[in-house]
Amino acid sequence: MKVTKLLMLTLLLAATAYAQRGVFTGITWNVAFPTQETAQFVDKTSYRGFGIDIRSFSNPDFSFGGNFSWNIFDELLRGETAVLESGAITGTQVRYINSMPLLLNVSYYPGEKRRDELRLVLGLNAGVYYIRQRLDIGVLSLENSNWHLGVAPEAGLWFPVGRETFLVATVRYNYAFDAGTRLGGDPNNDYSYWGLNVGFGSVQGWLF
Amino acid sequence: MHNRTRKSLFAPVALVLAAVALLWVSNSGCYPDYGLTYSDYDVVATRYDTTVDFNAFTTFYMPDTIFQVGDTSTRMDGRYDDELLKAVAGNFEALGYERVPLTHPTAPDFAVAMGKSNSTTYYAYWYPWYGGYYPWYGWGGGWGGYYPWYPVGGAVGSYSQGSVFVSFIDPARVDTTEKRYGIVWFGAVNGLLGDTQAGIASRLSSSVNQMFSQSPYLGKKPQ
Repeated sequence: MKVTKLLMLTLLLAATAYAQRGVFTGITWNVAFPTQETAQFVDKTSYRGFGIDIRSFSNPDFSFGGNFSWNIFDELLRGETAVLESGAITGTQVRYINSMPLLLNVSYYPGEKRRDELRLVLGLNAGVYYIRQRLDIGVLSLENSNWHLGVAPEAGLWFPVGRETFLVATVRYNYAFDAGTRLGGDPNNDYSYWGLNVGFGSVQGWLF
Repeated sequence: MHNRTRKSLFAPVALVLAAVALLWVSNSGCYPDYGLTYSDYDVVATRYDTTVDFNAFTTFYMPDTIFQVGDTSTRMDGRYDDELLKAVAGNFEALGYERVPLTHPTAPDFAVAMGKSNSTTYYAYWYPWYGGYYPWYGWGGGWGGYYPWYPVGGAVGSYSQGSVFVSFIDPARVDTTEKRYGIVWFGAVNGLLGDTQAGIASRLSSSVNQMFSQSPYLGKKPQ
């Protein structure tokens, strides 16, 4: 009985503490620019992407949260001839990468906190990336998927457009560490891309 | 009141937008469709023995037959055979090699053999963007199995497809006990068959030409 009371009290305190915090929820359109090894496979900018972001403010300077996003990179290469060590192959290639990061986030908000002013946001994300790589050439389709650990530092701006609503614009560098092998057997299977995420979000509860 | 309205609207608007975004991304697909045509499914692959000097060959023999390989229970349409034979022989001749009959007083320097298959289990297996790695099966085998292709499973589904193979055979390198059949250059074309007859003929012709244009090491170089 004593334990039950203690548990209920703990839950009540936790709920009260949570209720006192500001909670930010946001949704963004994510444009992604592949770099390094990723760009060697698909060089085209990805306009197919979105992100969902949730943050809880422990104080006005810091927030902790998580986000999920999804970007599809794809590129069509017609009449492509790949010259190999002892041969060559020609055909229309369609290359795809689906990247789905699920990340935890910690962010710092420097400067004065005024409701009607632009806010700078500096953050670090870490978590897992589920990445599917696929190549279609001719009637053949090859596919490979792996879970990667990854990090994504970011910097963004929040433009207040209402009492609780912001337009958000964030630049994020996504890096998914090496895991498994790339299609073709290359053991270096890391991925990287820049993300430009724009959208809007809302803060419910105490923030300033 | 105004702010409360804005606040109360955010959640449903965000939910709708999230749903639209999810639908947009997933519906445009993990794999967006490019609306490919038949010719987009054509693949031309070539491989050669890098130790061979193709300039050292002068004459060749080529039978007027395209052999059925792989699954011979369903024979591939023969209506394109004449054009294919003519195109392949023409390309070798354009490279400076001389086609000779079997009755020629001196044995030809090399032989050209052609095969075809409509089997759904013979594909090239390669990784075109990763230059250093080329996991083809080695040379060897025999008719019906000697092509350096091997089955990779049902990637094709129910598509009706066809393949045409061309082999450059050096008789000096044939060793039947070691199951080496002297293939020093190999070309293959794979594509879908659902096109019109004229379309297939045109695609086959350009694919055969591509086979040679992507093999610049072939040919009799002028002295």
